[in-house]
Amino acid sequence: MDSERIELERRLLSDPFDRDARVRYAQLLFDEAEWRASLDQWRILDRDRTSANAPLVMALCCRRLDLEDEARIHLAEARQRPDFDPDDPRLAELGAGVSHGLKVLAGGRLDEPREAAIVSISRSDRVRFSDVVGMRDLKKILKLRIVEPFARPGLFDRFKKRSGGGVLLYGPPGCGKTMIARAIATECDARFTAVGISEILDLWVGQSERNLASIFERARAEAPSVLFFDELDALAYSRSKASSDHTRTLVNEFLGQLDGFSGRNERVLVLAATNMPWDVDEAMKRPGRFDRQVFVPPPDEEARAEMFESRLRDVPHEALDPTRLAARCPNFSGADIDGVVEYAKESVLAEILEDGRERGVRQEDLIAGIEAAAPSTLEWLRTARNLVKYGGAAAGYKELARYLRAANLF
Amino acid sequence: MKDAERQISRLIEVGRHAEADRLLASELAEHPTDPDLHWLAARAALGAEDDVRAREHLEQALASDPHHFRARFLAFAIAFDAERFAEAEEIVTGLIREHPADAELIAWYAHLMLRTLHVAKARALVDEALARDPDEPVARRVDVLLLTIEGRSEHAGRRLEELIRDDPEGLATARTLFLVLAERGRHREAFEVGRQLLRADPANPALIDALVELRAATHWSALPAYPMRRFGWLGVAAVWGVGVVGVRAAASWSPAWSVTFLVLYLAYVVYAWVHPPWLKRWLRRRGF
Amino acid sequence: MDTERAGSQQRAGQNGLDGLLEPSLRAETVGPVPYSVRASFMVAFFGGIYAILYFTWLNSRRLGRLRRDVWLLGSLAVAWTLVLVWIVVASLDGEVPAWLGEPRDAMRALRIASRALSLGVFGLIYLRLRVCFKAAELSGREAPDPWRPGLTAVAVGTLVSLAVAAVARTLRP
Repeated sequence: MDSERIELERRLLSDPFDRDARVRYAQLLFDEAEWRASLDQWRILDRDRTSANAPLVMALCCRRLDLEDEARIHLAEARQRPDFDPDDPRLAELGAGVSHGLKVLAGGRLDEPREAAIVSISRSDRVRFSDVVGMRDLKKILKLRIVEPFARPGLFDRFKKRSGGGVLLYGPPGCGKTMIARAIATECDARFTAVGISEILDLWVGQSERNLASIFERARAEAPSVLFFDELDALAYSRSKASSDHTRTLVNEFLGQLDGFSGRNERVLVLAATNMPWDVDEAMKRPGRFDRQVFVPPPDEEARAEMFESRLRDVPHEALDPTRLAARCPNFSGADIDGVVEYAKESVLAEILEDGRERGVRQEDLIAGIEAAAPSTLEWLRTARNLVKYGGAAAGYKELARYLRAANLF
Repeated sequence: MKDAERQISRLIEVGRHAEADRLLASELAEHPTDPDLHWLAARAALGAEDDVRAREHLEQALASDPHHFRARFLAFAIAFDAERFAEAEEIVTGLIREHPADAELIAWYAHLMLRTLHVAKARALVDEALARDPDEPVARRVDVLLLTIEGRSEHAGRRLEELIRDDPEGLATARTLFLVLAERGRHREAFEVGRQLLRADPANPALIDALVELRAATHWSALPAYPMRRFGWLGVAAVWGVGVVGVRAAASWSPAWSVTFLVLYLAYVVYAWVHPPWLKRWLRRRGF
Repeated sequence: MDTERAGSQQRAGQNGLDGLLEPSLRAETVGPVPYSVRASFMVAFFGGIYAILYFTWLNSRRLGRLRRDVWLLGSLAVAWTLVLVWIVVASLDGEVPAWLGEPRDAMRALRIASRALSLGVFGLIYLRLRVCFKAAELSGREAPDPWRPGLTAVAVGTLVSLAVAAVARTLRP
């Protein structure tokens, strides 16, 4: 086994793009229970985001490292891949139920939305605002505008401020919208139900609408509760852009549920997240629905510094100044920072294997990584800039406009 | 449409191409030659901007069923968007021959003719399409554009009103309205409609260019250039004529007047020449 | 009866349609787009009548409607040549028309008149090709780069004017 490992490391040094060697190396590390190291290798392998295998193994690594949140994210990512196999035996270990649509495709039929598909977060999984690094201003806003009205309805009632209702979190991908939604639920001390598109969209005519109604009914029955709809743009796709009646019908049902026509939505906080708020039907953003829209920006400097620290905690390193590093990578998302750290680690390893002298990761290695990378959030920010700069949408996107100005992206 | 196909179609519509691909992969494993599935796979690939894969799936769909209507129509749409107009014409005329009662197909052929500036033929085709189905939306939109081109503004306005009344939130209607308003020189209204369109499609650089043009035309600092903006090239020619006549008249009055007039006139010409591009650059930088 | 009529209408419709289904596009072209109105105006303003006629000839050829326009372009070219010859001969004979002013101002006045006339010709041509220009604008397709043909047209216009003037001088008895 050792000789195979040395051989694979040698191959990777001579050609870091030798995919076959890296797959075998990553698997070998996994087999040797080196979860962290294996996870790092799978992360590199998963840059092209094509196969479901990498995120699945990453989810397993995370599960064994007790990183439940990350495991769930990787599992969700695996589900998105075209070669995802719902019968993969590894899913049993991850405790992931087969998705509704796929079950139907496989010949089964479900009349009711199944419990397992809707992710209810248990107390042990709870994320608090204190777990969300940095983003002080955002957390303050969320506390005042969402958490406190929900947690202390009496006080806010006296000031004629309502609790419950809908909040739309929008921002570039990979910047923690889901984590923030979960933190909101924890802070509200409410039951949290996360709903993805696979839980709603169904093959059968009318079933998607029934799924949605059933989810709302359950949330009402369990009030106080927080319903979280991820990828709202897919569930409430703009009817002016849609060509099929099904999309329109689902949006109509969603609007009806938000308006509470089949029950009162008091003490039900409806959260949603989207990367593409411009694809969400305009009617969803009207008063009484998702009228509170909150921009979740890329991690701020404090958050980035903490990310560098946490990513390098168990990695040999020399004296580092995470604050300076963070200042050099504005608009980087968490995934971008992972990429920078991986780049630095790889270049250090290459150097060690070349000249035989062992050393830790240095500030310069990370700076080189930052210089080699470009923030993945920029494309999103540029598109969003057009909305506020030319589209006259600044009133609906005040926080975004403020962020763009501060980041010199306006 | 089968249930799985409906689901895939829906995922494609909301831009979830990876999920659509996942479902397609399992469906295609069971029915590898199903032309409907290959047609859907082509749509998913197109959505993901993978033109090569889209073409491959289309070819497979047509290999399984050479008369597959939706695959052929998609091939037409791809050729149209890629400006392979002769190929698009060949496909759409073939489809019309097989489905002569389909007003939408004829309307699309009219649209193709309009885009390739065969205005008379486009008009004849639109009339044919509207004779078959007076409510056909593509035909109605092309009709409005043609009426505008033909200078029949009143008719165009009336038809446009009907279009908006029937589909007030449709993006295609808004695009038609935007084009017509801009063409008629109703810059302020066109600007507002254009902004709404941009809010729905913020990554559209052509729309931003058009909005910058419209905003520049309605900016207060462009007011002195109003005659040229309002009357176009006729206005420019008139400004030149005023200059020639003015210089002569001022010279016949007194040389001092002549110099003053000339200086003012040249300042105006320089303003008219330099100000619009400068303003556009400024607006692009500052936004509006 | 109604069915019969509907059927006959359908057949009649189809017959009308058959003529429209004859192909109008050739594979080797992506469909013509004329040079912009702006380019035509500039050519007329700076290049004169011969320049705008040459430029319109290029535009008309691009649009595949040269046969329809050639008589107009030819007539205008001939008319302007006659006027130019007459003015040159007249000015050499010292018989400058009164509206051109004093003989020493005649050339200046002639330039202005020629420019005004060429703008008039531009207007005439715009009216004739208006549908094509508007269709190009509304179809959203970008007009081709006009610099090379535009500059060529200005050069051709200037050279032809000089040549006509030179020939006119030889016509003086």
